Amino acid sequence: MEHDYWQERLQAYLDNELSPADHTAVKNHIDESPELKAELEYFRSMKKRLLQHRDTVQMPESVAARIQQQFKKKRVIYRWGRYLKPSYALAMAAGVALAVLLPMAFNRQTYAFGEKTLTGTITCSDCSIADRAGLQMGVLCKDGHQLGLIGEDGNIYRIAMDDKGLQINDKQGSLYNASVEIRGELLPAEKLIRVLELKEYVPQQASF
Amino acid sequence: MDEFYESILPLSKNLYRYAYRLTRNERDAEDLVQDTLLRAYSKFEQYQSGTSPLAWLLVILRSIFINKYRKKKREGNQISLEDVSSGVDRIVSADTRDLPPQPDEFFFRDVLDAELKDALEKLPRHYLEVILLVDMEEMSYREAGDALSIPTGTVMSRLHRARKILQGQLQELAVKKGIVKSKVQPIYPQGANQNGGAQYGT
Repeated sequence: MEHDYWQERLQAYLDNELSPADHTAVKNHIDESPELKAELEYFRSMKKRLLQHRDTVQMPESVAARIQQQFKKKRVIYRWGRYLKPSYALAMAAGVALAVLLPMAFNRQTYAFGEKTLTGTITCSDCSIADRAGLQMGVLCKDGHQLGLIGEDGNIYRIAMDDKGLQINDKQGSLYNASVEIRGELLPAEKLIRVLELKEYVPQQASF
Repeated sequence: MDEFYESILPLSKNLYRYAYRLTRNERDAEDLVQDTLLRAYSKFEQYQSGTSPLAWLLVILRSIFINKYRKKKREGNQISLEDVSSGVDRIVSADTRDLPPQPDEFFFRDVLDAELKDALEKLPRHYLEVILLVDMEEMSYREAGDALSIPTGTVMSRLHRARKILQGQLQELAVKKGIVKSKVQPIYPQGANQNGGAQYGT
């Protein structure tokens, strides 16, 4: 039994698996026993030879490739699977919304003002719309008339109330029904014009 | 899951070496490795980060091997406890006086890989496994114990017996080759229980 005890510990000593105290005890025992010392050297050589022998078994490249391929596919599926989880679905929805909304934002340039010269008659645009719609006059502009222009093209334009627009608005009474030429910036879809310059055509006085 | 690809998958070559030693043929070894990795993938949340990934994989591999291949083995040439015992009695020697004075220089250099392979294949499987793990995969006793689901002390005693059996086999070979002239003596008295632990299925 004692022989077995030291034999087992000899192996653990060889594998450096003993506590420091046990290591010292076994080392002392080995130093006193040429037989154990010879065994230690023998098993050390065996261990070294076994490690050399390990690589005689190698996984064939074809097997390694098959495994890599199999798990590469799994990785792709896993990654896509992650995107299908609810939180990722929300993120994806947000992404889609952005993809839709961003171009729309950029498309605002189609609503950009473009320089245009219009001729027509100064009017209240809301009253003119009401008139065309057959509504009672004033129903669309209860808070005051909205400066506008009935163009020679027949369209009703609203005039933007920026500084220039306010100046014109102050003279609304005198300009009402006046024939004018407006050079300005037009927002075609909205039929809104920002006035840059206004020319009033003064009717020729009949001379007798 | 990225950890699986970084820590687990690169160990497939270690798994294959182990699987091949157990199954002794390429086809079964490949199947065993595939099955092990697939199960590891599906159970990866059970892996405790920081522990030995190889030990964890080998627990899975052995579980699959025991369940799947033990049945197959039963249908073929099962190694019984009796076979193991008689083998141990026949080949194990404790007589170190017959060892060459410097075996590293004289003997192990002459042991061919094929001869070593044969000697390993003759080992009872539970002895073979401790050799594979500690000597060939360079695992600590603790890691080997985790992989084999046995206490560290059992790893130590199995390793002692395994190396002794291997020593006996190689010494027989040395005698055949004329490197040493020796009788081979059993380390255990006849009839003693030298199984050294549970076999598969017991």
